[in-house]
Amino acid sequence: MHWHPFSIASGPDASGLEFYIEVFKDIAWTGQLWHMLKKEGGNSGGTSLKQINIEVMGPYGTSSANTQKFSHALAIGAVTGTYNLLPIGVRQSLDDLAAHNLRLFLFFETTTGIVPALSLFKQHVRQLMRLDPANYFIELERHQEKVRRVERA
Amino acid sequence: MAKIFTASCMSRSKESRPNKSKRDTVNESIRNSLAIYDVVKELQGGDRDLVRMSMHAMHKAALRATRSIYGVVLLTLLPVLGVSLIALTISWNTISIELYAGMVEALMVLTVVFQTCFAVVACCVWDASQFAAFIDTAVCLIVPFANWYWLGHYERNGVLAAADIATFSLVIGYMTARAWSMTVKPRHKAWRANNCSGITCLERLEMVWATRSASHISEILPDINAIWDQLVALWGEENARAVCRTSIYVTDTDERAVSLLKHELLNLSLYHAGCIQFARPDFGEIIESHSLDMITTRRNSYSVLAFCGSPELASDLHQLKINNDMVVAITGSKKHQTEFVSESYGGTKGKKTKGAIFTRSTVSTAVDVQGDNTESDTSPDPGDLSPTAEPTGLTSRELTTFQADPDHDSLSDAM
Repeated sequence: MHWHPFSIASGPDASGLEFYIEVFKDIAWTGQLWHMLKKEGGNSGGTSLKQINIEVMGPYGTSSANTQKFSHALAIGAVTGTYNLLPIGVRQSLDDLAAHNLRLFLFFETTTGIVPALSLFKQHVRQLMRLDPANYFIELERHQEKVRRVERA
Repeated sequence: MAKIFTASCMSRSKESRPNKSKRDTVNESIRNSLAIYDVVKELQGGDRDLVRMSMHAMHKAALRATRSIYGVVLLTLLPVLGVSLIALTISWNTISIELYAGMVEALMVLTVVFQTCFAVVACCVWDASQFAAFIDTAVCLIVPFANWYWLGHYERNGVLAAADIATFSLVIGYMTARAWSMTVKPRHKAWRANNCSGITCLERLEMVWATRSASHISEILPDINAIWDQLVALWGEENARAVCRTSIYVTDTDERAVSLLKHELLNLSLYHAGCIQFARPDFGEIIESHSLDMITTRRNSYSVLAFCGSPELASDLHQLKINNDMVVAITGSKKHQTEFVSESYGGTKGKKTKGAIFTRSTVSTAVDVQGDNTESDTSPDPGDLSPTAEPTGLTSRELTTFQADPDHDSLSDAM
């Protein structure tokens, strides 16, 4: 096993880290990882997965999820095999994650170009779920009216 | 030529149709500009006169759009001049030797030029709705009298007194600082919804996913659909569509895989809502539609175009975004800005990868790092968007019901 870069599919505020990883041949890193987790998880019903030592470095790379200054976002994901880089750097161990009450999801599927967009999508919906839809549009219209008033002035 | 003529006719016929809404007018204006631009691109290398004539119109419009940029560049001279004035005034008025003839006059001329430039931009260019604009006006009204006072001191004493130097530095310093802050401030105006709950979020997110792999869709789409269903349950479908949109384009050439995927998608609400299309996406049209929507429905917007994919496609999208920006600027919609963010960490697309094997069964695991694998973990808060809301521990689910073609290229680009 060695370090491997993956995109983080969960939003920045999520309580867990989610990865979409495409599993290739058995000899591939992802194949070995798959078999290890399947073996450990299968034998113990999932409880022994907690014994697996997983270290996460990063996140690194551009954060397209930093959307606070924007009013709208058009997120386009295309192409397979793109990664948010996780180069050598500060190591955040699983214990560190535990200290921050984070859960680590290892979601063995495919790594695709949609992942950063999906992260953005999850973050956006997460924020929307905390809002009251009834008030949201009223506030929005009120703010628009304020902008119009300022412009007229 | 016909297209340009049609575009011109459409513009002229605006008055003959007074009942048109603002949205129609803006749409028409943008379409006309696009039509002219397309014709120019098509005719390059063909009818030179026509191209030259159209290019002249385009250049004229582009110059108008970029005039503000030149203005900002010129504005950078103001702080430089202000700092120079303060430095020269302090230096020449505190130096022990006698000043040469003309130095004081040069200083006063430069001072008046600086103040005049400041007054012009403060009154005619900068936003007058801010409180600082009132201070600017007050300073502009004061400085002619201050200049008269300082000139009198120069004539009587040859140099300014220490108090006068301080006053001069204060006034010119304010003007310099103001000019500097206005020069370097961001030109994009973010418009954000500040809700009563204190949460700020995007007004709308449009997610577009183009993939050539039907199996990728099969694996990931249920998650997206689950999240969408949560949002619809809370917001209602109409409201959810107003704040979040999803478009998925499947370009898989494997007909069997596509057929099986369609069968799989029958239970997904996103599929029934028409969010999944089995066609190639037209990114130019997607970007253009977004801008059109912004222009016709909002007074101002600040959008991010976030892309993750191959560097080639990123480059194409960047070009499309620049073209779109030009059209938006030409049509006078400068309050609608777009920024492009691209992530292309995968490197350039190489040869087709052989031997990639999909694992058909999918296991979703949640490792509870705290070790408290309790029931509370299975009842997520409304903000918990994990599609695997059921697990801690090990659960398995079969998301894919078809066997992929072994020769199917799982790493191919969507385009």
